[in-house]
Amino acid sequence: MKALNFFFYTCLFFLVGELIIRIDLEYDILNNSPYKIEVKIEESELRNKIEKGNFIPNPNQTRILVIGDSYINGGGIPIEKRFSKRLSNLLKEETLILDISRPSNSTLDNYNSFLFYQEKFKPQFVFWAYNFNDILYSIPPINSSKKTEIVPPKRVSRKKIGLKKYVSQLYSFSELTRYVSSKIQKQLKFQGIVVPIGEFYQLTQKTYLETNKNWIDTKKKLNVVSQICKTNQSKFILYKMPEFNLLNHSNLFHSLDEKFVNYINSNKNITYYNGINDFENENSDKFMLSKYDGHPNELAHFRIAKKIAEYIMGEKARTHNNIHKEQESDLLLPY
Amino acid sequence: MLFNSIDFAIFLPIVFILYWFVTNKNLKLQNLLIVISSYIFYGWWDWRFLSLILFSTILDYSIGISLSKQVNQNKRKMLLWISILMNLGFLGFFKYYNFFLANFMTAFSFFGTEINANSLNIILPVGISFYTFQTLSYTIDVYKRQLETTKDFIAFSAFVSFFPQLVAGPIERATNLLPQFYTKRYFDYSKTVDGMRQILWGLFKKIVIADNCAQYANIIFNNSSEYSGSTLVLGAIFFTFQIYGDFSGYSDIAIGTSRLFGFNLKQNFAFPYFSRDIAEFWRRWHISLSSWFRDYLYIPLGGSRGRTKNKIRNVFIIFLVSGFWHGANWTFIIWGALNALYFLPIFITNNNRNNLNIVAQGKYLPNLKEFLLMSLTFILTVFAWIFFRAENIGHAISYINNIFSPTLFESSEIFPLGLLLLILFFLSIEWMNRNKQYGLEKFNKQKFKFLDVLLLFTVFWSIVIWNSSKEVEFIYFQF
Repeated sequence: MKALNFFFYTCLFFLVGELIIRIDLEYDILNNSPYKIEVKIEESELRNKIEKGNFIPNPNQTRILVIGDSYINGGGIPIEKRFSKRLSNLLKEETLILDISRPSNSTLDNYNSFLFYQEKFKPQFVFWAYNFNDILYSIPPINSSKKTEIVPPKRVSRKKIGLKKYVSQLYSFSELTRYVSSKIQKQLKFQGIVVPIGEFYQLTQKTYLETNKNWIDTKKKLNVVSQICKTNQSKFILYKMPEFNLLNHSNLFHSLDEKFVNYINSNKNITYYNGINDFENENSDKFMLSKYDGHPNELAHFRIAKKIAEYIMGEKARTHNNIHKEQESDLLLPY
Repeated sequence: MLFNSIDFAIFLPIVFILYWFVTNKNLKLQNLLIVISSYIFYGWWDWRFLSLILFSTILDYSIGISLSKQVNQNKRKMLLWISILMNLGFLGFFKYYNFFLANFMTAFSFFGTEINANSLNIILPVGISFYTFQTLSYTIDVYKRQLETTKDFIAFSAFVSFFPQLVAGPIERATNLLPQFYTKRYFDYSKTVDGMRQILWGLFKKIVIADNCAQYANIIFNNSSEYSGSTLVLGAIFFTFQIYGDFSGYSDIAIGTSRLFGFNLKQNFAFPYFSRDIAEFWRRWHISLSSWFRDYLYIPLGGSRGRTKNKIRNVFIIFLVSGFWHGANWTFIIWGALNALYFLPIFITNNNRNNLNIVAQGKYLPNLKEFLLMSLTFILTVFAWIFFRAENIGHAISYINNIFSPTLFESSEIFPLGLLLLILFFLSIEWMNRNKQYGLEKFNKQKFKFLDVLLLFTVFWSIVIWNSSKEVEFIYFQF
């Protein structure tokens, strides 16, 4: 009788959980799923103008093209405090920033956007905020505008035997198991513990191998972008965005960082910043939006904007000095 | 260490196992384990401030011993004042130094004299207001000969630093808690289960109710000029439940955790939002602090005896001091004064002890009169909380002004139905168990066993699923 009671209450325990999670999924009771970041896409007059071919570049303006996904677009951050606006305020002078970053953009989307807009906008600076999961896209990408979404482990359809089969069926049926396992993984990740079978592990440890076709393709695309920039005499800044909820666990990205540095060493036309260095010894709490998600907050955007503004101002001053020197040396010429 | 953190979830079972399975044969060892655990618990936040607790412990322990040896009343009084001045001196320095400095400077500049003094960048040691009052209660009780002096330094240290209630109360009296460290504790399964239920209920209040209410309360209070009157009302209601869920949740976790180790702490919140008048509210809200002020301040001042003028003065003093205890800001003082104003009419007319029993006792629902009285008390409380939450008095006044504008009757811009339903669920549970020590206490009747288990499971999964994405600190840590 006791065993029966125990079994009954155990089933009831999971049933209640299953019911609550299904109610929540259906009605989004608190409207604040921890990993949900509010994304508002700002309508840009400038972008419309460029798209319609009505844009005429002003030679006195510094034009900056911003590329990336929601991390740099500023999901969850008030528009006035987002990277582009901050950068624009910091540069003070006549600066025109075209922000074509969009949530969920992959490398392929960013690449296509770059090709389209650079021709019409003619930027002097191209700022590409690279996110480590931008590498997830399908090759060959025909008319694709969205990157492949990370989905929970696929439901197993092939036949299995005995207990394994039941566990697998239970997993595929139960929203609760999926929710709890994903939450545990996220919680562990926040503590710096990565489950070797999880997506995050795959992405950071396996995807950036030299043999991986997406990584090969990413490098090709970055080469093309840097080549075009060189031809156009514009500066290509590649900024690798950190995962802001994992700032205290930068070791999780060591292998990935190494791969990136190796590539950058082979391409001198890219000005590379590993964002993690800008937030060294800092606490995640200060810069993240949520502990379950790597999105930066407004403070992080401000810091990145300051860094990039410093670089741009330095470059402009250097260019100005060079022109000045050339003019001076011209004056010294006898004829 | 936060109760709602992974660190604590690991820390608690370790201490529990060591307590009941390793040190259980030796009372002194058990007490020593409590002291060490408490110091680790506190040091997790900032180990430097452990010296303050240690100093307070040594000071009051030594004064206690001196008081027991001293027969000369004047010298005893002097010892008591040394303890009071030293303890309150620390509290005053860390908590109120900058406040007094800023106000003195403002006052002098009002009379045309400019004073230049730099405010200090002082970190407020977590829980200083709580353990200071706890150690003071020991010295005062020993002075009044209501308590035997302890010669057991470890037991006394454990009493001062007892980790479940160290940083945010309840403020335990030495007469209740200290003797529990002298007697052997036995593992009691039902007490442990009850303790875990209370911890679960505390976590529900904190994580599901308080932290989710906080998200809306913060948005509304931080942008109060942009919202309609109706939204501001909702913001004040969310804060009302935030502060209750946060603080009473902490108390429940503290009391539940203590029970796991065989200790009984006193109830700190007795369903205050079901009060029918403000006097009843104050008998049910933060009971350990209210009774501390009553016994060590109000009664020595003369209490309810003497002329009406003195009685009114005493009431004002106790409420103002209570407000000031919460923080070095005029908003807390106004909050205290407002509560004194609420309390005075029923106090002067001798109606302050009308509602000593539990509302609608033995009935499922209150009658109309009880309902109206509860609603009125709740509204008054919500109004007072606006001062408590506001950044400064100007903010509170503009918040109230914006409430009483034509937009009060417009529909609210923010209306989180799900959260409101959760609050309703929470209130229903509290209402059902309003005659008990906490909301999730086991139903007595066997026929409700299934309902009881169902409720327990629902509360558990609500915490797992509807928690906030950040480990939010308890509000009372700052006090």
